Amino acid sequence: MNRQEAEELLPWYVAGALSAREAQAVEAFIDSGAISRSTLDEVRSYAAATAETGPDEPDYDPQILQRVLTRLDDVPQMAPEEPVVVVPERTAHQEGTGRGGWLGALVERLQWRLTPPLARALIAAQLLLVLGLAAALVLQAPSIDREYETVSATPAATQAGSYTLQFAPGTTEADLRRLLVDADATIVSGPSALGLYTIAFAPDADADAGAARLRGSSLVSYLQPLPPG
Amino acid sequence: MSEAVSDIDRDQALIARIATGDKRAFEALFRVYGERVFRYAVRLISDPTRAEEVTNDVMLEVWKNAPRFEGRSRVSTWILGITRNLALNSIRRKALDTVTVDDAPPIADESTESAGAVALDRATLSQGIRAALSQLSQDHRDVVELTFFHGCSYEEIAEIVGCPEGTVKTRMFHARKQLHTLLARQGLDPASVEMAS
Repeated sequence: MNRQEAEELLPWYVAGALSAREAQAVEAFIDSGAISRSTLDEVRSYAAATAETGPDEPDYDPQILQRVLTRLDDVPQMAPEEPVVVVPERTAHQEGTGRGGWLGALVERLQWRLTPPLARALIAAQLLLVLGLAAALVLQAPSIDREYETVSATPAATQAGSYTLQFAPGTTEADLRRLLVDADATIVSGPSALGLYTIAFAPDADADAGAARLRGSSLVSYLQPLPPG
Repeated sequence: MSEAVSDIDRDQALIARIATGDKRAFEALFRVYGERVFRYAVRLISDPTRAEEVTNDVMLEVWKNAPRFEGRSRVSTWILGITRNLALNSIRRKALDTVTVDDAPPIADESTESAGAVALDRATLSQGIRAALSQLSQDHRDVVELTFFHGCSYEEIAEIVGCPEGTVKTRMFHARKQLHTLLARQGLDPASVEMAS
């Protein structure tokens, strides 16, 4: 603290409103003469005049209390604020354990250390159960190497007059063959993972009539022309 | 500091009881702070009737908000802060004449300072200082009052007034300078009388 700072604090020194350390520092400047006695006396004069009630100041009426007390019942008290859970600051030791980063932040955010032990055990057990079920599902699932597709997906290369076709469940190979022969159509590709075939009508065949025939069959559940490409 | 630790503990305990609707605790707190609140208000707004109304309102606010007092500051700081806000609201509402920082009285020429300063008795000097105080801007007067009448630290004043601690110190510096000049104009030397030991 320099002399100017000490002199700035002089009013609070006089008022007895400084910390012990600050008061000591200011006192040292007074004792050394760096802050003059007249400056100190001047501030003391201000303090004394301000602290006393002047003769022209109105008296305090203690009856104010009674008037306030009569109004108290008309003033409802506010509800307390929601309790704030104070998360203890991480200690230097904990800082050193390396549990910082996102995991540490997550643990603090979830207030894990403030969670009751029983609740912690239940949460951990639940998490383990979920992970176990997920692992079982993954291990038991049949391997699906085929790519994901939609019914409306367009095969890589199609010729004009090509259709996407799906047979109704339970259609036998013989039914399928008979149906395609009758419609003068051949399978270009398929079946896909969804059971879809790409079919094409013979170049000299009436594609519209063939398609109408297929649509009319109860063995065909889906038939849509493919855009040429 | 300005308050003994036991006073701080007593205040906190009273507020805790008031928060539960304890009227006797409220009465006890009122006996401690009622006059302080009134004095602060009356010096801020220079109107005893309105200062009484402000005192009423301040203490009712304390009653109402005690359950939400979190103890982040001292009870005295909290109550004086409420007092200041309500007093200033009262001033704004009634458009009372107050001196703003910009309207602060001009400082007299240095040449006139100390001219005719004479040794004075304590009462005369006190009266002169109070008269000079009333001519300070409200912001400057506020800092002086809170320091010397209420014994607030500069940190507490910063909290009550809502400004940085550095600003509190600056305001006090200018207040002292203006007081000195205003007193010199009246031929008063504040250092000439031993006011307090």
